[in-house]
Amino acid sequence: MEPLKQNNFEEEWQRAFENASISPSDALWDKIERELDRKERRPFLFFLRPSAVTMGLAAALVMALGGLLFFNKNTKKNQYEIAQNAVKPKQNSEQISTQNVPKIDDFNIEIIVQPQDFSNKELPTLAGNSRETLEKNFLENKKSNKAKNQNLNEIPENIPQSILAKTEKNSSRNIVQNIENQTILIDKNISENNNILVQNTESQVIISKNESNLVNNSRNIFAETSLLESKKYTYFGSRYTLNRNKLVFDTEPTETKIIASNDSKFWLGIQSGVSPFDPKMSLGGLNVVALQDANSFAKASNVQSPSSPNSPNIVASDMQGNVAVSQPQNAIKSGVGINMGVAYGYKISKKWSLESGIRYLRGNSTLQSNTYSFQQNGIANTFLANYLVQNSSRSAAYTTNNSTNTVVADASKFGNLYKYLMIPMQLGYEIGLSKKLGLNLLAGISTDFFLQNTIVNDNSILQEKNTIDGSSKIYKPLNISGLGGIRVSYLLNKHWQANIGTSYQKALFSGINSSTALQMRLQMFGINYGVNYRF
Amino acid sequence: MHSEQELVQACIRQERLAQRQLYTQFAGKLLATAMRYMKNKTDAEDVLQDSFIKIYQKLTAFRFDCPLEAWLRKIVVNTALKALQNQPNWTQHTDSQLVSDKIEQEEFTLSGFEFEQLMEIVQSLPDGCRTVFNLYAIEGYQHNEIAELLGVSVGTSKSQFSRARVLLQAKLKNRGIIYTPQTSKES
Repeated sequence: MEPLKQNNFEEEWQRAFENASISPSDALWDKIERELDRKERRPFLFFLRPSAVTMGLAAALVMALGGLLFFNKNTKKNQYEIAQNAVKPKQNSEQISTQNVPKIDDFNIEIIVQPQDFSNKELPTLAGNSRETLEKNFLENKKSNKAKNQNLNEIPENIPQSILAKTEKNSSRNIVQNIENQTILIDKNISENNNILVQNTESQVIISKNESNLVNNSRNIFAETSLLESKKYTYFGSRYTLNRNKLVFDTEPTETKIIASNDSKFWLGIQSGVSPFDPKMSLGGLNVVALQDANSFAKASNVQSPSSPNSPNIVASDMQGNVAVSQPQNAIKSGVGINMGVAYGYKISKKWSLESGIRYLRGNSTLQSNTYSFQQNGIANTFLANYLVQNSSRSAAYTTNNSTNTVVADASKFGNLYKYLMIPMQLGYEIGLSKKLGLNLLAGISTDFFLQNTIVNDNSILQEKNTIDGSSKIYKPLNISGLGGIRVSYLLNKHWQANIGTSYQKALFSGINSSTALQMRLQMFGINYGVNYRF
Repeated sequence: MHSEQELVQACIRQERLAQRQLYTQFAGKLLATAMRYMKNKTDAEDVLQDSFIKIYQKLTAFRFDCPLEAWLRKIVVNTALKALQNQPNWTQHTDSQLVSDKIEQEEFTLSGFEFEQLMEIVQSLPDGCRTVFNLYAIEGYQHNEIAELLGVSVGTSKSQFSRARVLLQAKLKNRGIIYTPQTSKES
């Protein structure tokens, strides 16, 4: 029997497992293959890629503005059509005017008055009524309403029954209906005949009358044109409205009340946003430092560089006559930023407002690097991560030391996650597009508090995570950004308002301390959305 | 048959046959490594699956400055550690401190044991001391490196190893191994 060695515990166990092998189950390779196939396909959240987000934002903006113009145009067009239709009596009213004995049951008349119609001399003769009678009655009315009558020098020969209502005996008006700014006058004697019923709907007045009384008394129903207040036209378009649709009627008083509800002075809101997140990191002379480190390591190791001979980055010159070192690459690409927070605002004047709040921002970017630092404890890291970590914990700038060995190898991608707390302060100018819709132009500054930077290496041979917090010496704990944006807001009801828009933010100063070679100016251009409670 | 370098380059080019060859060549040994860290074969195969996915993705970072098998085993070990650390009761397993770090220096041999028996004994250890035992005794890490890898103190690493050693000695003794314990202080 072989003599037992003392203190051979570890050796025995190492030897026991040295060439151990266990056959995996047959299904394991299939699982790995499926996983490989899945990863080669398009990623599920492809729309979160910066290019897709940018295109999405552009599409959303175009749709929002396009929709705004479209609906704004349609509203005006509808009002314009109403005005046009108002000059055209309906077919049954024309029949009444051309028949001697109109049936009052047929009197489903849409009474919409347009002043210029009454000056039309070519209106058809009112059937069954002598011109003298009409003229007489009209003149009587004119006298009693002299103050208002200004355009009655010419008496219309024919006034359609559909739009005029008046008795020959009495000019006093007993019913005045105002429907959609249309004034309708109906004389007292009609009611004396106990036969008139005026129903007011949103757009029509239906007059029902005992036809025999109407016919036998030969009473003519017409409205005195001079008493009809002429319709005012108002410029109600916007710069986005085509010129021909700009003239529409006044808004009703009731609409004014709805607009007034938007005159609240304060608001509180919940807001969020998504945008491409670009740290805008300028690496300065970092790659030079990396190359110096790599050369030092290559010289010390005195071994052939592991770089592939096919690599396009090979530097032909051999720095020390021993090894060749590839050019270092440390490229940072944009990721996605998501922010959320609360906002509060104050309306300084009718158009101007001030808005502030607090936002939490989480954004990521990608580091593509071929430069790694291997430390004495066997842990490897990307050169940039190593540089950041070292500078975050020391007051002195980065210097090569014995614990770091830098090599330039094949490129890989690594994740970079940033967290910020932001306090924006923005001045807003509101452009009213309709009673509920408004466009806000915003500009201001944001105070940005750096919270954390995490560098994630999804690679088992590298240190998997480095976290640099706000107390580090590499990132400035506080920075200032410029803000600007456009926001469309829609008043859902008296208190609640939804809004969506785009915003641009860029750091005014570098977020990294000047003692290093790096500079970072955070930049985001994205979409923001949220709801406000106004009071 | 590819050489090791050709095999790696073909895997980097995502050639499925080469990937399969790499798997066939190393899966057995790597599974044995994973099984030392995990409680059972199912968990070990999960670790091996994740490891191979990482291997195929990160082969570009392999610089041929060490044997390929060592590089692959390091990935498997790190993946296993990550899986263990994601377990809900991981902290409980690693936080326990032994009062004494005195260990018994014994003389013994494992030659009388089948590999399967030894694997069974190792797998029967609690998670914390099994992990430290594997890292220290088999992989050759130092206690300060283990402390950094696991996020525990050096003292915890040492005491977990002591505990593993005591438990293993007891289990081996129960199975008939002959050894002569001698008490000494670990430097």
